[in-house]
Amino acid sequence: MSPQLTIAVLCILSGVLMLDKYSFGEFGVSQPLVAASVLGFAAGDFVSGALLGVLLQPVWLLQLPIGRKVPLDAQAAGISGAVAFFTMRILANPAFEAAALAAIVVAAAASVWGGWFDRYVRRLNGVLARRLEQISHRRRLLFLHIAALDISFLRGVLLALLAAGIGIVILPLLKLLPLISLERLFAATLSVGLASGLVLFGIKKRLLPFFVGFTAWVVVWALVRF
Amino acid sequence: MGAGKVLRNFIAQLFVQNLWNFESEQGPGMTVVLSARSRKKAVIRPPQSTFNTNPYLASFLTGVLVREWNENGMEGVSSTLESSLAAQGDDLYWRVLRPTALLAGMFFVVIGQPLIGILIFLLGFNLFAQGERLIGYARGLKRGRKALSDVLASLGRMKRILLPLAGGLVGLLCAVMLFKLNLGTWVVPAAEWFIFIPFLALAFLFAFLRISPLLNLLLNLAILIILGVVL
Repeated sequence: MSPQLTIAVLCILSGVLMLDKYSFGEFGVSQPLVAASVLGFAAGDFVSGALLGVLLQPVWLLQLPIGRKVPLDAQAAGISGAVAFFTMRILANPAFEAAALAAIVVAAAASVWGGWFDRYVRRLNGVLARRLEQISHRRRLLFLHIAALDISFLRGVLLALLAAGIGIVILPLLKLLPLISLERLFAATLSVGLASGLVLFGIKKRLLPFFVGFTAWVVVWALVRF
Repeated sequence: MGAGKVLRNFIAQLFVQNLWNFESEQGPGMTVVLSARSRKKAVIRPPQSTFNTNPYLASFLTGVLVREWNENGMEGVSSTLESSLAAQGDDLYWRVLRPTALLAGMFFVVIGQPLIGILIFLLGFNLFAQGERLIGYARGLKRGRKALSDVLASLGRMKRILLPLAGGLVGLLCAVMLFKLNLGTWVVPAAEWFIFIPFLALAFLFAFLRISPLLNLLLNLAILIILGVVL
C-alpha cells in the first residue's frame, strides 16, 4: 500500500473509532490504548501502536465524562497522537522515541481542540434534536440518528487529517530534538496516570493494596530470578 | 421475555448517547430505545424533555419505564431513577471500572504482551458494562422501580471489590516501571529512578492541587528535553 493510501486508511479508521465516543456503543475502542493499537495494526506495526497507546493512555486515564461535563478529549488525543505518529513513521521512519515525543505533544494539543470540537458537535446535535420534536414516524427518527453518526464520523476524520498534516509539518523539526529514551518517556506519562489514579481511587484506603501490588511484582521477579 | 426482545433492546441501547446535546441530553437516544418497541413504527418519547443517566444503566431504566408507563407521575419517577443511576453508575463505570481495566491492560502491554493487554481491557470493561445493558432491561421490566435498591447495592458491592484491585494495579505498575528502568534488576537503583520518582512526586502534587494533567505532562517533557540537551 502506498504511504498516501495508508494515511487515508488511518483517517477513515479514525472516523470509525470516533463513533465509539457517545455515538455507538461506547465499547472503549476509542480509548488511546486501543485506538493507537488498532491504528498501528492498520499501519502494519501493531506493537508500536500498543506501546504508543501505553504512553498516551495514562495522561487521559481519568478524564471522566460525568453528567454535562465535557472533559479533555481523551479519544481525540489518542487518535490524533497515533495518526501523527504513524504519518511520520510511514513518510520518513524516524526513531520510535522521537516520533513518540512529537505524538505526545500533538495528542496533548488535540485533547484541548478535540474538546472544543466536541462542544460544537453537541450544539449541532441540538439543532438536529429540535427537528425530532416534529416527527411522528420511526423512519425519520432513524435518519436523524444516521445524520448524527455521520457528524461524529466526520469529526474523527477531520481530527485525523489535522494530526496527519501536523505530523508532516513537524517531521523536519524532529532532528532538532534530543533523543529521549523510551523508558524516560514512560516515566513522564505513566507517573501522571499513576499518581492521579491513586488520588482519585482514595489514597489513604488504597495504600495497603498499593504496597501489596508493588510487593507482588518484586516477589514474582525474585521467584523467577532465583 | 424472548431473546429477540432483549437483543432488539440491546441494539437500540447502543445508540442511547447518539445525538447527545445540551438541551435534551440523552432525550433523542432514549426516544430511539422506546420507539424500537413500537409495532406501529411510531415515535415514543421519554416522559420528560430532558433525559440523562449512565448509558449502561439506561437499559434498566428503560425496563422500569416500559413496565410502569401507564401509571401516574412518570416524570417524577423517571427523574429520580435517572439521577440515582447516573450518580452510582458514573462513579462505578467511569471512575473505577474503566480505569481499572485500562491499568490491567497497560500492565500486560508494558510486560510485552500487547494483544493480551488490549483483550483484557476490552473484555474486562465490556463484560460488566455491556452485560448490564443486556440484562438490565429484563430486570427493570420484571420488578420495576422496586429493583432500584438491589441495582444500587450491586453497583456498590462491585465498587468495593474493584477499588482495592485498582490500588493494587497502580502499585504493580509502579514496581514494573522501576524494574524496567533498572534494566531488569533490583540490586542497584538505576539513574533513571531519579527521574521517575521525582516525576511521581510532582504528579501527586499536581493531582492533590487538582491542576490539569496536561500541564504536568508538558512540564515533564520540558524537563526531559532540558536533561537531554544538558547531559
